Amino acid sequence: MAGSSKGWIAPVAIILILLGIGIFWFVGQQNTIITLEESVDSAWSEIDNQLQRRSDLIPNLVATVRGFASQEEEIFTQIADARARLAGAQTVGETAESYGEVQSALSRLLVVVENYPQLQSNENFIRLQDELAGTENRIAVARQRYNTTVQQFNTRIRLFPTRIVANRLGLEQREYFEIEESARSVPTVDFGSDD
Amino acid sequence: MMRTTTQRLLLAIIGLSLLLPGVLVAQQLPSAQGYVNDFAGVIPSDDEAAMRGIMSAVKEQTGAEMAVVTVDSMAPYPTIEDFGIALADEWGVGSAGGDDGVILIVAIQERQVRIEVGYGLEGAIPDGRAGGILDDYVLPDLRNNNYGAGLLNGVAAIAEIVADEYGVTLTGVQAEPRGASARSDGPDLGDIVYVIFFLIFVGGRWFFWPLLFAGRRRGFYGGGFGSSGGGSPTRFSGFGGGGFGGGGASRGF
Repeated sequence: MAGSSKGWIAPVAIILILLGIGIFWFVGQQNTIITLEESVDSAWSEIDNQLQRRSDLIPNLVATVRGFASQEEEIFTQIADARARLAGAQTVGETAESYGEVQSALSRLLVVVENYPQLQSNENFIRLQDELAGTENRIAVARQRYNTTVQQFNTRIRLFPTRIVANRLGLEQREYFEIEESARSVPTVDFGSDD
Repeated sequence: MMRTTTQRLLLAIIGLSLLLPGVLVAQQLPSAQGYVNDFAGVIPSDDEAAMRGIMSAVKEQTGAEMAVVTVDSMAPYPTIEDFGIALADEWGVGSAGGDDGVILIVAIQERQVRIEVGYGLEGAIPDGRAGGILDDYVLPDLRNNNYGAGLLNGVAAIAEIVADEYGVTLTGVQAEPRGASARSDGPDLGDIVYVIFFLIFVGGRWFFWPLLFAGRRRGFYGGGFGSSGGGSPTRFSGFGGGGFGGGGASRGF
Protein backbone atom coordinates (compact mmCIF):
# COMPACT_ATOMS: atom_id res chain seq x y z
CA MET A 1 0.00 0.00 0.00
CA ALA A 2 2.66 2.48 1.12
CA GLY A 3 4.94 1.50 -1.78
CA SER A 4 2.30 2.00 -4.49
CA SER A 5 1.19 5.40 -3.11
CA LYS A 6 4.79 6.66 -3.38
CA GLY A 7 4.72 5.50 -6.98
CA TRP A 8 2.26 8.15 -8.16
CA ILE A 9 3.39 11.07 -5.98
CA ALA A 10 6.48 11.70 -8.09
CA PRO A 11 4.70 12.03 -11.49
CA VAL A 12 1.97 14.21 -9.94
CA ALA A 13 4.58 16.45 -8.37
CA ILE A 14 6.36 16.78 -11.72
CA ILE A 15 3.08 17.57 -13.47
CA LEU A 16 2.23 20.18 -10.85
CA ILE A 17 5.65 21.77 -11.16
CA LEU A 18 5.39 21.84 -14.96
CA LEU A 19 1.89 23.27 -14.71
CA GLY A 20 3.20 25.90 -12.32
CA ILE A 21 5.98 26.82 -14.68
CA GLY A 22 3.48 26.89 -17.54
CA ILE A 23 1.13 29.24 -15.71
CA PHE A 24 4.03 31.42 -14.66
CA TRP A 25 5.24 31.64 -18.26
CA PHE A 26 1.73 32.27 -19.56
CA VAL A 27 1.06 35.12 -17.15
CA GLY A 28 4.47 36.61 -17.90
CA GLN A 29 3.88 36.50 -21.66
CA GLN A 30 0.37 37.83 -21.22
CA ASN A 31 1.70 40.85 -19.33
CA THR A 32 4.41 41.47 -21.92
CA ILE A 33 1.93 41.31 -24.77
CA ILE A 34 -0.53 43.61 -23.02
CA THR A 35 2.26 46.08 -22.31
CA LEU A 36 3.26 45.96 -25.97
CA GLU A 37 -0.31 46.56 -27.01
CA GLU A 38 -0.44 49.57 -24.72
CA SER A 39 2.67 50.99 -26.32
CA VAL A 40 1.13 50.50 -29.77
CA ASP A 41 -1.87 52.51 -28.57
CA SER A 42 0.22 55.25 -27.06
CA ALA A 43 2.41 55.44 -30.17
CA TRP A 44 -0.77 55.80 -32.19
CA SER A 45 -2.10 58.56 -29.97
CA GLU A 46 1.09 60.52 -30.63
CA ILE A 47 0.38 60.32 -34.37
CA ASP A 48 -3.19 61.33 -33.64
CA ASN A 49 -2.05 64.35 -31.59
CA GLN A 50 0.25 65.55 -34.32
CA LEU A 51 -2.40 65.06 -37.01
CA GLN A 52 -4.77 67.11 -34.88
CA ARG A 53 -2.09 69.74 -34.42
CA ARG A 54 -1.64 69.94 -38.15
CA SER A 55 -5.39 70.20 -38.71
CA ASP A 56 -5.45 73.09 -36.23
CA LEU A 57 -2.68 74.87 -38.11
CA ILE A 58 -4.40 74.65 -41.47
CA PRO A 59 -7.11 77.32 -40.95
CA ASN A 60 -4.43 79.84 -39.89
CA LEU A 61 -2.27 78.96 -42.84
CA VAL A 62 -5.18 79.17 -45.28
CA ALA A 63 -6.33 82.51 -43.82
CA THR A 64 -2.82 83.95 -44.20
CA VAL A 65 -2.45 82.73 -47.78
CA ARG A 66 -5.96 83.92 -48.64
CA GLY A 67 -4.98 87.44 -47.61
CA PHE A 68 -2.46 87.51 -50.47
CA ALA A 69 -3.88 85.00 -52.93
CA SER A 70 -7.65 85.12 -52.62
CA GLN A 71 -8.16 83.85 -56.19
CA GLU A 72 -6.69 80.42 -55.42
CA GLU A 73 -10.08 79.28 -54.14
CA GLU A 74 -9.81 75.81 -55.70
CA ILE A 75 -6.82 74.79 -53.63
CA PHE A 76 -8.44 76.07 -50.42
CA THR A 77 -11.45 73.89 -51.12
CA GLN A 78 -9.26 70.86 -51.75
CA ILE A 79 -7.47 71.39 -48.45
CA ALA A 80 -10.73 71.81 -46.54
CA ASP A 81 -12.19 68.65 -48.10
CA ALA A 82 -9.10 66.57 -47.37
CA ARG A 83 -9.00 67.90 -43.81
CA ALA A 84 -12.64 66.94 -43.29
CA ARG A 85 -12.00 63.43 -44.61
CA LEU A 86 -9.08 63.06 -42.25
CA ALA A 87 -11.26 64.10 -39.32
CA GLY A 88 -13.77 61.41 -40.29
CA ALA A 89 -11.21 58.62 -40.76
CA GLN A 90 -11.90 55.57 -38.59
CA THR A 91 -9.18 53.02 -39.22
CA VAL A 92 -5.42 53.30 -39.44
CA GLY A 93 -5.62 52.70 -43.19
CA GLU A 94 -8.22 55.44 -43.72
CA THR A 95 -6.20 57.84 -41.61
CA ALA A 96 -3.04 57.10 -43.57
CA GLU A 97 -4.89 57.63 -46.83
CA SER A 98 -6.49 60.94 -45.92
CA TYR A 99 -3.25 62.04 -44.29
CA GLY A 100 -1.64 61.70 -47.71
CA GLU A 101 -4.48 63.67 -49.31
CA VAL A 102 -4.07 66.58 -46.89
CA GLN A 103 -0.36 66.48 -47.49
CA SER A 104 -0.56 66.60 -51.27
CA ALA A 105 -3.15 69.41 -51.07
CA LEU A 106 -0.80 71.33 -48.78
CA SER A 107 2.17 70.80 -51.07
CA ARG A 108 0.12 72.13 -53.98
CA LEU A 109 -0.62 75.17 -51.84
CA LEU A 110 3.07 75.70 -51.12
CA VAL A 111 3.83 75.49 -54.84
CA VAL A 112 1.12 78.05 -55.60
CA VAL A 113 2.56 80.29 -52.91
CA GLU A 114 5.79 80.59 -54.88
CA ASN A 115 3.95 82.98 -57.19
CA TYR A 116 3.45 85.42 -54.34
CA PRO A 117 6.80 86.87 -53.22
CA GLN A 118 5.10 89.22 -50.78
CA LEU A 119 3.48 86.29 -49.03
CA GLN A 120 6.74 84.39 -48.90
CA SER A 121 8.44 87.20 -47.05
CA ASN A 122 5.47 87.63 -44.70
CA GLU A 123 6.65 87.04 -41.14
CA ASN A 124 3.46 85.29 -40.10
CA PHE A 125 3.52 83.01 -43.11
CA ILE A 126 7.16 82.03 -42.52
CA ARG A 127 6.33 81.18 -38.92
CA LEU A 128 3.30 79.12 -39.95
CA GLN A 129 5.35 77.34 -42.56
CA ASP A 130 7.92 76.44 -39.89
CA GLU A 131 5.16 75.16 -37.63
CA LEU A 132 3.75 73.10 -40.48
CA ALA A 133 7.14 71.65 -41.41
CA GLY A 134 7.84 70.89 -37.74
CA THR A 135 4.51 69.15 -37.37
CA GLU A 136 5.07 67.13 -40.53
CA ASN A 137 8.41 66.06 -39.11
CA ARG A 138 6.81 65.12 -35.79
CA ILE A 139 4.26 63.02 -37.69
CA ALA A 140 7.10 61.31 -39.56
CA VAL A 141 8.90 60.56 -36.28
CA ALA A 142 5.72 59.39 -34.54
CA ARG A 143 4.87 57.24 -37.54
CA GLN A 144 8.25 55.54 -37.52
CA ARG A 145 7.99 54.86 -33.79
CA TYR A 146 4.45 53.55 -34.16
CA ASN A 147 5.45 51.19 -36.96
CA THR A 148 8.38 49.87 -34.95
CA THR A 149 6.08 49.14 -32.02
CA VAL A 150 3.46 47.51 -34.26
CA GLN A 151 6.17 45.36 -35.79
CA GLN A 152 7.28 44.16 -32.33
CA PHE A 153 3.70 43.51 -31.30
CA ASN A 154 2.75 41.68 -34.49
CA THR A 155 5.86 39.54 -34.41
CA ARG A 156 5.21 38.49 -30.87
CA ILE A 157 1.56 37.59 -31.31
CA ARG A 158 2.25 35.65 -34.50
CA LEU A 159 5.23 33.63 -33.34
CA PHE A 160 4.84 30.29 -31.63
CA PRO A 161 4.54 29.80 -28.68
CA THR A 162 3.46 33.31 -27.68
CA ARG A 163 0.65 33.19 -30.26
CA ILE A 164 -1.16 30.76 -27.95
CA VAL A 165 -1.29 33.51 -25.33
CA ALA A 166 -2.36 36.08 -27.93
CA ASN A 167 -5.11 33.80 -29.23
CA ARG A 168 -6.37 33.31 -25.73
CA LEU A 169 -6.50 37.09 -25.25
CA GLY A 170 -8.24 37.44 -28.61
CA LEU A 171 -5.63 39.88 -29.94
CA GLU A 172 -5.32 40.70 -33.59
CA GLN A 173 -2.45 42.09 -35.62
CA ARG A 174 -2.23 45.85 -35.79
CA GLU A 175 -2.11 47.80 -39.00
CA TYR A 176 1.01 49.70 -40.04
CA PHE A 177 0.71 53.40 -40.75
CA GLU A 178 1.93 53.33 -44.30
CA ILE A 179 2.10 56.31 -46.59
CA GLU A 180 3.53 56.84 -50.03
CA GLU A 181 7.10 58.01 -49.80
CA SER A 182 6.35 60.75 -52.31
CA ALA A 183 3.90 62.27 -49.85
CA ARG A 184 6.52 62.61 -47.15
CA SER A 185 8.55 65.62 -48.11
CA VAL A 186 6.29 68.65 -48.14
CA PRO A 187 8.75 71.54 -48.15
CA THR A 188 10.89 70.30 -51.02
CA VAL A 189 8.05 69.29 -53.31
CA ASP A 190 8.72 69.67 -57.01
CA PHE A 191 6.10 69.05 -59.66
CA GLY A 192 8.56 69.54 -62.50
CA SER A 193 7.11 70.87 -65.75
CA ASP A 194 3.55 69.94 -64.79
CA ASP A 195 1.80 73.10 -66.09
CA MET B 1 -0.32 27.91 -45.38
CA MET B 2 1.41 25.07 -43.62
CA ARG B 3 4.40 27.08 -42.51
CA THR B 4 6.74 25.57 -40.01
CA THR B 5 7.96 27.43 -36.97
CA THR B 6 11.35 27.79 -38.61
CA GLN B 7 9.78 29.37 -41.66
CA ARG B 8 7.86 31.77 -39.48
CA LEU B 9 11.01 32.68 -37.66
CA LEU B 10 12.76 33.25 -40.95
CA LEU B 11 9.89 35.44 -42.13
CA ALA B 12 10.02 37.39 -38.91
CA ILE B 13 13.75 37.92 -39.31
CA ILE B 14 13.32 39.05 -42.90
CA GLY B 15 10.48 41.34 -41.86
CA LEU B 16 12.61 42.68 -39.05
CA SER B 17 15.56 43.36 -41.30
CA LEU B 18 13.34 45.34 -43.68
CA LEU B 19 12.40 47.64 -40.83
CA LEU B 20 15.89 47.77 -39.45
CA PRO B 21 17.76 50.27 -41.66
CA GLY B 22 17.06 53.03 -39.15
CA VAL B 23 18.67 50.99 -36.42
CA LEU B 24 21.61 49.93 -38.54
CA VAL B 25 22.59 53.41 -39.64
CA ALA B 26 22.21 54.56 -36.07
CA GLN B 27 25.39 52.66 -35.34
CA GLN B 28 27.28 54.93 -37.71
CA LEU B 29 26.45 57.98 -35.63
CA PRO B 30 29.41 59.59 -33.92
CA SER B 31 29.42 59.53 -30.15
CA ALA B 32 29.02 62.75 -28.22
CA GLN B 33 32.23 64.55 -27.30
CA GLY B 34 30.71 67.23 -25.12
CA TYR B 35 28.57 70.30 -25.67
CA VAL B 36 30.46 71.21 -28.83
CA ASN B 37 30.97 68.41 -31.34
CA ASP B 38 32.84 69.96 -34.21
CA PHE B 39 33.28 66.83 -36.30
CA ALA B 40 33.68 68.93 -39.44
CA GLY B 41 36.38 71.06 -37.84
CA VAL B 42 34.85 74.40 -38.84
CA ILE B 43 34.59 76.16 -35.47
CA PRO B 44 37.53 78.30 -34.31
CA SER B 45 38.67 77.27 -30.85
CA ASP B 46 37.82 80.60 -29.22
CA ASP B 47 34.24 80.42 -30.52
CA GLU B 48 34.06 76.84 -29.33
CA ALA B 49 35.22 77.88 -25.86
CA ALA B 50 32.65 80.66 -25.75
CA MET B 51 29.87 78.24 -26.78
CA ARG B 52 30.95 75.79 -24.14
CA GLY B 53 30.87 78.54 -21.56
CA ILE B 54 27.31 79.48 -22.47
CA MET B 55 26.10 75.90 -22.56
CA SER B 56 27.72 75.01 -19.23
CA ALA B 57 26.03 78.05 -17.73
CA VAL B 58 22.67 76.96 -19.16
CA LYS B 59 23.13 73.45 -17.80
CA GLU B 60 24.25 74.78 -14.43
CA GLN B 61 21.45 77.27 -13.98
CA THR B 62 18.49 75.61 -15.69
CA GLY B 63 19.33 71.91 -16.02
CA ALA B 64 18.64 72.10 -19.74
CA GLU B 65 21.29 70.62 -22.02
CA MET B 66 22.39 72.04 -25.33
CA ALA B 67 24.70 70.64 -27.97
CA VAL B 68 26.29 71.92 -31.17
CA VAL B 69 27.12 69.42 -33.88
CA THR B 70 28.89 69.97 -37.18
CA VAL B 71 29.44 67.17 -39.68
CA ASP B 72 31.02 67.14 -43.12
CA SER B 73 28.05 65.24 -44.43
CA MET B 74 24.84 63.89 -42.98
CA ALA B 75 24.99 60.83 -45.27
CA PRO B 76 23.55 58.22 -45.23
CA TYR B 77 20.58 60.15 -43.87
CA PRO B 78 18.46 61.62 -46.68
CA THR B 79 17.42 64.77 -44.82
CA ILE B 80 18.72 66.89 -41.97
CA GLU B 81 15.49 66.04 -40.12
CA ASP B 82 16.25 62.32 -40.31
CA PHE B 83 19.82 62.93 -39.20
CA GLY B 84 18.70 65.25 -36.41
CA ILE B 85 16.20 62.89 -34.81
CA ALA B 86 18.57 59.92 -35.09
CA LEU B 87 21.30 61.90 -33.36
CA ALA B 88 18.90 63.23 -30.75
CA ASP B 89 17.60 59.74 -29.98
CA GLU B 90 21.11 58.35 -29.80
CA TRP B 91 22.58 61.06 -27.60
CA GLY B 92 19.59 61.87 -25.42
CA VAL B 93 20.45 65.53 -24.94
CA GLY B 94 18.47 66.96 -22.02
CA SER B 95 17.40 65.49 -18.72
CA ALA B 96 15.50 62.22 -18.73
CA GLY B 97 12.40 63.57 -17.00
CA GLY B 98 12.42 67.11 -18.38
CA ASP B 99 13.32 66.30 -22.00
CA ASP B 100 14.91 69.75 -22.01
CA GLY B 101 17.49 69.39 -24.75
CA VAL B 102 18.29 71.48 -27.81
CA ILE B 103 20.72 70.55 -30.58
CA LEU B 104 22.07 72.88 -33.23
CA ILE B 105 23.19 70.78 -36.18
CA VAL B 106 25.07 71.77 -39.33
CA ALA B 107 25.85 69.56 -42.32
CA ILE B 108 28.58 71.36 -44.25
CA GLN B 109 28.43 69.61 -47.64
CA GLU B 110 24.66 69.67 -47.82
CA ARG B 111 24.60 73.24 -46.46
CA GLN B 112 21.77 72.43 -44.09
CA VAL B 113 21.27 73.63 -40.56
CA ARG B 114 18.69 72.48 -38.03
CA ILE B 115 17.59 73.24 -34.51
CA GLU B 116 16.27 70.07 -32.87
CA VAL B 117 14.07 70.78 -29.87
CA GLY B 118 13.30 68.31 -27.08
CA TYR B 119 9.73 67.70 -25.92
CA GLY B 120 10.17 69.77 -22.77
CA LEU B 121 11.25 72.92 -24.63
CA GLU B 122 8.73 72.82 -27.46
CA GLY B 123 6.68 75.38 -25.57
CA ALA B 124 9.59 77.79 -25.13
CA ILE B 125 10.95 77.21 -28.64
CA PRO B 126 8.04 76.45 -30.96
CA ASP B 127 8.99 75.58 -34.53
CA GLY B 128 8.28 79.10 -35.76
CA ARG B 129 10.64 80.55 -33.20
CA ALA B 130 13.31 77.99 -34.03
CA GLY B 131 13.04 79.04 -37.67
CA GLY B 132 13.26 82.68 -36.61
CA ILE B 133 16.48 82.02 -34.67
CA LEU B 134 18.01 80.40 -37.73
CA ASP B 135 16.91 83.25 -40.01
CA ASP B 136 17.96 86.11 -37.75
CA TYR B 137 20.95 84.80 -35.81
CA VAL B 138 22.55 81.87 -37.56
CA LEU B 139 22.06 82.02 -41.34
CA PRO B 140 23.70 85.39 -42.11
CA ASP B 141 27.08 84.15 -40.81
CA LEU B 142 26.67 80.63 -42.14
CA ARG B 143 26.10 81.99 -45.63
CA ASN B 144 29.54 83.59 -45.38
CA ASN B 145 31.01 80.34 -44.05
CA ASN B 146 31.54 81.96 -40.65
CA TYR B 147 30.45 78.83 -38.86
CA GLY B 148 31.93 79.75 -35.50
CA ALA B 149 30.28 83.17 -35.37
CA GLY B 150 26.90 81.96 -36.63
CA LEU B 151 26.69 79.00 -34.30
CA LEU B 152 27.90 81.02 -31.32
CA ASN B 153 25.24 83.63 -32.01
CA GLY B 154 22.62 80.87 -32.38
CA VAL B 155 23.72 79.22 -29.15
CA ALA B 156 23.48 82.58 -27.37
CA ALA B 157 19.98 83.20 -28.79
CA ILE B 158 18.74 79.76 -27.75
CA ALA B 159 20.42 80.08 -24.34
CA GLU B 160 18.60 83.36 -23.70
CA ILE B 161 15.24 81.79 -24.53
CA VAL B 162 15.91 78.74 -22.38
CA ALA B 163 17.11 80.90 -19.47
CA ASP B 164 14.03 83.06 -19.85
CA GLU B 165 11.83 79.98 -19.74
CA TYR B 166 13.39 78.98 -16.42
CA GLY B 167 13.31 82.54 -15.10
CA VAL B 168 17.07 82.97 -14.82
CA THR B 169 19.47 85.46 -16.38
CA LEU B 170 22.71 84.30 -17.92
CA THR B 171 25.56 86.67 -17.25
CA GLY B 172 27.32 87.97 -20.33
CA VAL B 173 25.15 86.19 -22.86
CA GLN B 174 23.65 88.42 -25.49
CA ALA B 175 22.64 87.28 -28.92
CA GLU B 176 22.53 89.74 -31.75
CA PRO B 177 20.07 89.54 -34.61
CA ARG B 178 22.01 89.69 -37.87
CA GLY B 179 19.26 89.72 -40.44
CA ALA B 180 19.64 92.24 -43.26
CA SER B 181 17.33 94.63 -41.44
CA ALA B 182 19.13 94.24 -38.15
CA ARG B 183 22.61 94.86 -39.49
CA SER B 184 24.02 98.13 -38.20
CA ASP B 185 27.04 100.09 -39.39
CA GLY B 186 28.37 100.77 -35.94
CA PRO B 187 30.80 98.63 -33.96
CA ASP B 188 29.91 94.97 -34.10
CA LEU B 189 28.14 94.22 -30.87
CA GLY B 190 28.75 90.52 -31.38
CA ASP B 191 32.49 91.08 -31.21
CA ILE B 192 32.14 93.04 -27.99
CA VAL B 193 29.93 90.37 -26.47
CA TYR B 194 32.39 87.78 -27.58
CA VAL B 195 35.38 89.64 -26.11
CA ILE B 196 33.58 90.07 -22.81
CA PHE B 197 32.64 86.44 -22.90
CA PHE B 198 36.13 85.36 -23.66
CA LEU B 199 37.47 87.44 -20.81
CA ILE B 200 34.95 86.14 -18.34
CA PHE B 201 34.79 82.51 -19.25
CA VAL B 202 38.11 81.71 -20.78
CA GLY B 203 41.07 84.04 -20.87
CA GLY B 204 40.56 85.90 -17.65
CA ARG B 205 38.89 83.11 -15.80
CA TRP B 206 41.13 83.39 -12.78
CA PHE B 207 41.28 87.14 -12.93
CA PHE B 208 37.65 88.13 -13.52
CA TRP B 209 35.94 85.29 -11.92
CA PRO B 210 36.63 86.16 -8.29
CA LEU B 211 35.65 89.77 -8.98
CA LEU B 212 32.34 88.98 -10.61
CA PHE B 213 31.22 86.04 -8.62
CA ALA B 214 33.03 86.63 -5.39
CA GLY B 215 30.30 85.14 -3.30
CA ARG B 216 29.23 82.28 -5.52
CA ARG B 217 32.13 80.85 -7.45
CA ARG B 218 31.75 77.44 -6.05
CA GLY B 219 29.87 75.07 -8.23
CA PHE B 220 29.59 77.10 -11.40
CA TYR B 221 32.19 75.03 -13.13
CA GLY B 222 31.96 72.20 -10.68
CA GLY B 223 30.91 68.94 -12.24
CA GLY B 224 30.99 70.50 -15.67
CA PHE B 225 33.39 69.58 -18.40
CA GLY B 226 35.41 71.18 -21.11
CA SER B 227 35.64 74.52 -19.39
CA SER B 228 39.29 74.79 -20.29
CA GLY B 229 39.63 77.14 -23.24
CA GLY B 230 40.66 75.72 -26.59
CA GLY B 231 41.74 72.34 -25.32
CA SER B 232 39.86 69.13 -25.81
CA PRO B 233 37.23 68.31 -23.20
CA THR B 234 38.78 66.36 -20.39
CA ARG B 235 35.92 63.98 -19.85
CA PHE B 236 32.33 63.72 -20.95
CA SER B 237 29.92 61.65 -19.01
CA GLY B 238 27.16 61.79 -21.61
CA PHE B 239 23.86 63.61 -21.80
CA GLY B 240 20.93 63.06 -19.49
CA GLY B 241 18.68 61.01 -21.77
CA GLY B 242 16.12 63.60 -22.87
CA GLY B 243 13.44 62.69 -25.39
CA PHE B 244 12.78 64.27 -28.78
CA GLY B 245 9.74 64.12 -31.02
CA GLY B 246 10.96 65.89 -34.15
CA GLY B 247 10.22 69.49 -33.13
CA GLY B 248 12.38 72.32 -34.41
CA ALA B 249 13.18 73.93 -37.74
CA SER B 250 15.61 73.49 -40.62
CA ARG B 251 17.11 75.78 -43.24
CA GLY B 252 19.42 75.52 -46.19
CA PHE B 253 22.11 78.19 -46.37
